[in-house]
Amino acid sequence: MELEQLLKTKVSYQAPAAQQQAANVPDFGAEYARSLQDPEAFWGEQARQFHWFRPFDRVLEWNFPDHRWFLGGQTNITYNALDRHAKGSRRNQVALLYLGEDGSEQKLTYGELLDRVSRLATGLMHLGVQKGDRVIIYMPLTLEGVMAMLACARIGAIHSVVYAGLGVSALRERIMDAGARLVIAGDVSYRRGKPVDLESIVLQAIEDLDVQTVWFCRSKAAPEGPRFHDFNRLLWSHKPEAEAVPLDSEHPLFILYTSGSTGKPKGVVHVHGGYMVGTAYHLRSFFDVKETDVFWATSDIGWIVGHSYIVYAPLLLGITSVLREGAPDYPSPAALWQAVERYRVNVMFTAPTAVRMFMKFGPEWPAQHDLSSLRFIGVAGEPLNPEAWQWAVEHLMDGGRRGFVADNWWQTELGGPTLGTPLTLPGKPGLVGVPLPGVEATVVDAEGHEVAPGTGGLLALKRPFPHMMRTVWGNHARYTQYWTEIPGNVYAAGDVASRTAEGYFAVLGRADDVLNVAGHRIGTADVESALVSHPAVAEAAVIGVPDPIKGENIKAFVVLRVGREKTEALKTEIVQHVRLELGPIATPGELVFLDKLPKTRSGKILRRLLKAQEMGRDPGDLSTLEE
Amino acid sequence: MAQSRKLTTVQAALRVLAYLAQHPEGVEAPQLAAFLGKSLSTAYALLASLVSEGFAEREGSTYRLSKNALAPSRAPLAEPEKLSDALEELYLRTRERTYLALLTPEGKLRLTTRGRQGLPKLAGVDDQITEGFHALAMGKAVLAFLEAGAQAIHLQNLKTYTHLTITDPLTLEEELAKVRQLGFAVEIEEHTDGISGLAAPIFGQDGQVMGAFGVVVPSRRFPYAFTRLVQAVQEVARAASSHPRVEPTPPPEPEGLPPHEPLYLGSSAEEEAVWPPKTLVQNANLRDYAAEYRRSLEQPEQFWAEWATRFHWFQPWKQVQEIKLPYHRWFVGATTNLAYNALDRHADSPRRNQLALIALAGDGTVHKLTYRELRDLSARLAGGLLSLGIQPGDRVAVYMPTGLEMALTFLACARIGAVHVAIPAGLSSQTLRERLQDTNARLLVAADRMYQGGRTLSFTNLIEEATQGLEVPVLWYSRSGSARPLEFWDLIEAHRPTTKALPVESEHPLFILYTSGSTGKPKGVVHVHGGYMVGITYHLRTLFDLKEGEISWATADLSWIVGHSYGLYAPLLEGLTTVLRAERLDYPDPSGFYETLEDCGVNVLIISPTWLRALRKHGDEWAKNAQLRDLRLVASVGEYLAPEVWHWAAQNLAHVVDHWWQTETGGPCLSTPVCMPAKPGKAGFPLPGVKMQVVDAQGRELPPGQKGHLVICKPFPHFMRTFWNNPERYAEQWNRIPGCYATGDIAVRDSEGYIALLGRSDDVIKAGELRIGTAEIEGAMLSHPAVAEAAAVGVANPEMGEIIKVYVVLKTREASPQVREILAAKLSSHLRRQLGSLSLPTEVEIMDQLPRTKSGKILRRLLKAQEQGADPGDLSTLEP
Repeated sequence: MELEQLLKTKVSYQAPAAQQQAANVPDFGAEYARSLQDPEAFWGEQARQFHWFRPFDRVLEWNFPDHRWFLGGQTNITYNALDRHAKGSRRNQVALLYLGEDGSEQKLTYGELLDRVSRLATGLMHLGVQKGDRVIIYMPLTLEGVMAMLACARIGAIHSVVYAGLGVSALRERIMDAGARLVIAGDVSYRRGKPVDLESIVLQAIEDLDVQTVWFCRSKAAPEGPRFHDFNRLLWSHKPEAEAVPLDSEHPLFILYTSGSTGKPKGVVHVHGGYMVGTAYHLRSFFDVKETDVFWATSDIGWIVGHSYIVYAPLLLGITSVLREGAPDYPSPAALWQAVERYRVNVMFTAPTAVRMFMKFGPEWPAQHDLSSLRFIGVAGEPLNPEAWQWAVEHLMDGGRRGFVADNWWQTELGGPTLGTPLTLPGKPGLVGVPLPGVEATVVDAEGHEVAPGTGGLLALKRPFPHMMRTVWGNHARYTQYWTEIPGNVYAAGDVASRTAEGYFAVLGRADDVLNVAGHRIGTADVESALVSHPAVAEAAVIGVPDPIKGENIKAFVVLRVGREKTEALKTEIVQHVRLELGPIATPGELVFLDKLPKTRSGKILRRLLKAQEMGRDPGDLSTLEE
Repeated sequence: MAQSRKLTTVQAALRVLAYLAQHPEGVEAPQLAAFLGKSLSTAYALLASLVSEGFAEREGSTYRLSKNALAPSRAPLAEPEKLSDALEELYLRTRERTYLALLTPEGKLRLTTRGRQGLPKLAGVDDQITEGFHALAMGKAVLAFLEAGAQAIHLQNLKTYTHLTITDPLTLEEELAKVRQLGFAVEIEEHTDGISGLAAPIFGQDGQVMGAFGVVVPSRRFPYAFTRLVQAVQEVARAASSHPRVEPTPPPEPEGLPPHEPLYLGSSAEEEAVWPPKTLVQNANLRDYAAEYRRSLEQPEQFWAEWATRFHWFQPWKQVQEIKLPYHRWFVGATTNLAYNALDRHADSPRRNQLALIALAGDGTVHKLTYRELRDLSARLAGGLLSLGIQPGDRVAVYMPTGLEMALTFLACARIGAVHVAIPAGLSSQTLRERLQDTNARLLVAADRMYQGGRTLSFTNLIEEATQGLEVPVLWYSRSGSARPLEFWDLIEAHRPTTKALPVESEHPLFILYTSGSTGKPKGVVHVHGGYMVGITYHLRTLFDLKEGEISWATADLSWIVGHSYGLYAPLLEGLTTVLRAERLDYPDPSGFYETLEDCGVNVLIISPTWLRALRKHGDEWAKNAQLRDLRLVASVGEYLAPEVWHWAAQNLAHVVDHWWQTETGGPCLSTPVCMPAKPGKAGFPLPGVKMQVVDAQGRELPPGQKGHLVICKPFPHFMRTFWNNPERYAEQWNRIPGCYATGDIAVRDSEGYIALLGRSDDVIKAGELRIGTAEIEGAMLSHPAVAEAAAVGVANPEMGEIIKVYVVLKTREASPQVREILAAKLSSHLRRQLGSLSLPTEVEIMDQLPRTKSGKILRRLLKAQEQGADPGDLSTLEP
């Protein structure tokens, strides 16, 4: 079996000796042991590196399944991310570096960013935004998008960024679920040299909702009307008066929606105190960033990686964070490497899908550029296949002589890296790595019994850490479900995994009906309900099929309503319909018409069977199949 | 509105009188001009008219209030039995509307009046004026003499009486202090529309103030009656006071003066010294000026060596200084590189990602570069220059607008030991050609156009003309889209950032910068890597008081010395962030200026008085609406900063540090560091390391109060090394006045050591025995009613030394040649009368207009050259 081969492999990659010696955490084993032996001392020490308006009385209150951290403490993540630096020696250091596809750049220093965020926060208060209010952010990957997030956090409002690419119904659903009264939106995003319309999506989504909107417009003027405000006017017409509001450690910082199999998206809630402490810790310890590094997470602020590693953790550490709008291979497959050379990027964080894409273009593109500054590449979002890992080490890290490529695994719910390969341990292709400090992970069967090494099972976490989600917005029962799904008081990650005898983990894929397309999690149910909302569709099922670039691609099976013709035109129409509803990422790459779908006797669609047929594999137990 | 208020002649005259009254020791015209914020000519004209009307007297160059004007009359007044009699007496003596104001127990003023019916009309003044009373002279006189406790109540009740009334408690306090010193209060239109008033306090038996006597006249008549009114009001009030005037033992306040002395002797001769805000003083980088200054002169080697250790030296020096006047060398035997210290040192340190430079180009482009980026870009350009064959010591001429490209060129030249020569963009092709030839430049780096004030200026033809026939290649920074064979950014793109900074001798030339010399061969000031680097950073820290993480903005063009030293080199050497901006500060309005301050978060602004005046003219609203909480300090340099402008800037921007220096000195020489109170109008003290004196023509130091030549007594590290290709001229500057370097400026030192600059000594005409400033002559000429403009020059004459020649533009242009001739003779004799010497050789020529520079200065140099048939020199700044 594939899995067995993987676990037996002897190939491993080591970081250069000098890099290991200079590591921020030179002795991973000791660090890990301490984090589990005395978590309160461990995290308390990390937390005390930040500014607290009121120091915390207690590090942890673990009241299964609820956990609270840094109790009694008051802080504000933006004070630690901005004021602390802007009022110190980092005032004129570049905090954010925005790059456009056209080679344009915009920089904001810590001093400037604080000024802008403070102005915008003042403006938001003038619009009536108060502590605890939810604000939806539907913005392209721009400085303004980051400012919007920080401005909310500064005044204790809860931001909920919706990836600017999701469609009308997805956006609308999130606005309603969060109970947001304000939407901060961009009119367009730029991709492949062309503007992508966001405005009409927002306008349709909010059509009959009672929300105010703030528009960051780059292609035309903001829409007119009493509930439309211009982003730049709001920013510049206010003085930088808004101070960082002291907030309870457990005050929600943001809601970030993640797809579930049940159809309704889950609003994962993270809080100021613990999230700040945990994400910053891993940036320093796992990504090994140094004081003067330029750090580039090639994600988007619409995802958790963007929240943690474009915005919050880099700013908390006072380093320079890069964000680039547009496609990574536009205008040329060397675009990224050109930027790495120009800005002397030291540490990158990217996704396996991106690595596979670079692989497809060939090694000549990175070879054109001086990547000597690059020391560390973290990869996460889906399993990193050994070929991609090997390619990255070979062609981006000079065969491993220059630096290290580190796989890591985590989720929106977990805030930051959870499993991963620290640079002081050997990297093993096909294996994501070991549990990181603070994390106690295991592989269990459905009854909660630990399985033997080398055996597949469910990935579970045995204890919480500071940057782990606190609840699901408006649905605490769903939160509890994470911890009760598997007996034994463990957190069910929802992934299938296995473990080697030395304690390395392999994460093999989702256990539930969630697809992983280009690193983005998409619920099958979301796509299916979008399909059936088309008048011609009676029933639909979607599966993920392996894709060399995206990891998975969506394949849809559709049963038409009686009387509708199976035409190519109709196929296109249905695909377009989903695109409008959910955005381009969730658009099926392939659509086939069936006369009927395989179902269990209880009427559940057997996606497993569809997938097995698709892959030419044994479909397994078909006992429940409807005759 | 208040800020658009213009000083009428009447008001100006009145101010002059009040000022003279405050300065019994005598006032010089420049001092007065400074006080008024007017030109020197205007000051002379005003003084001349006051002298002719008998209000003032002139003695040499000092003016005083006429002794007779305000002397008490011989016959003492009988003490009136009743105050109403005194009011009648005052009316009879003045024949103007007179007032008696009495303080009621409730603290209000009850007015009684006597005068011709209906004149003048007092808008809104009833018999009883309550909170508004402070707006009038009477109220002020009363308030000034009220006890401090009682005053507080009144000050709290301040209410705007007219839109010009002083309501700011601090300003009012100052005003009241003046009244107390002078013994009488003056109100002019600033406080009450259309009327002017005078008042003096009346005291009761035990010395408490009872009220005031006053007289109120329409403003237009006021200055003519000033002396008469002051006398009358003073005497009547004194007589009416039942309390004896002279206090036997220490009076709590000077309530008046013995009758045999002039009224105004009580005032202090000094301008009020202004302390910087407390936080500025407490956090100053330089806390003890005196000790530092002493140490810098007693142990100069140790002093400068200590500062120099902050930099990287590839090889240490053997000797700190080696002085063989007029020549001097510093850090002898050491090798270093200024560009290495300005960039590499920071690019590989925690400052790697800190912004070094924010460049705002004329077309709106914004460049923000970190130390790492700036190092890499300049290293790439340096590689490009090497590829063009540029070698250490080669001169590279730079003709570009302020911006990133010019900064890169400077830094790339310094990196490889080439010598940059900036020629301000806009100067003529002739000038550019001369500089190219004088320096034998190996390369010209030039922009093909610049954008300023909404205009696009094309330089293509000008540069082609300037380089025609010369073997100097042009590296073009083409902004017009047309690509030329040798392109600036292409050259950068073609090279990797691998060119290292070349270790050069401390004394290796860094740049040549031409000064705007008045005549003769151009003076190319030479500065070097080592001493310049050490000196300019010392003053950046100790005078401009910059701290870690701060942002400075020198508004000067990068091709001037202020741009070289404080727009670029010193802030980079110290690892700070500097702002460069190409656009005019007032285009299209001052919003761009304030936005730059606000958006960039500028902490220290280095600006010229010209711009401060222009900004002031645009009003206070801009500053009020801007968010300037980062701005701590305004440093003003370039010319004389008038006190009024000083105060405006201090109030609307931040505390002002006025300072004086020249291209030749590389950095500031005279100023008032923030650990000391500033005297607006005076630059201040010699800065640490700089020994300066005010001397006579023989080099003897002059006592305080006497004007003389400002000289530098010994060289310091950042003082120029020579004039390029012209060492004789350099030596001459050290020989003109024995034993020291003549700055060419005239200055005066006060008793506390503050030095004030009075003007260029070049502008002094030596006619016979007399040395007389051109400004003084022009002022005298302008006092003639027919004269609109005047420009004076000295014309060499074998017998007389120089003849005073005045070019005059008449108010009425259409005069026939015959009329002009007669008028010229008349004006000439008027001038001699005015200057008080009938034997002066004067000549007047009537012209249709005077040649002026773009900035409006009269080009005397051109007139003089024409007169002598000489080459007028660089006329590039001449208004078309």
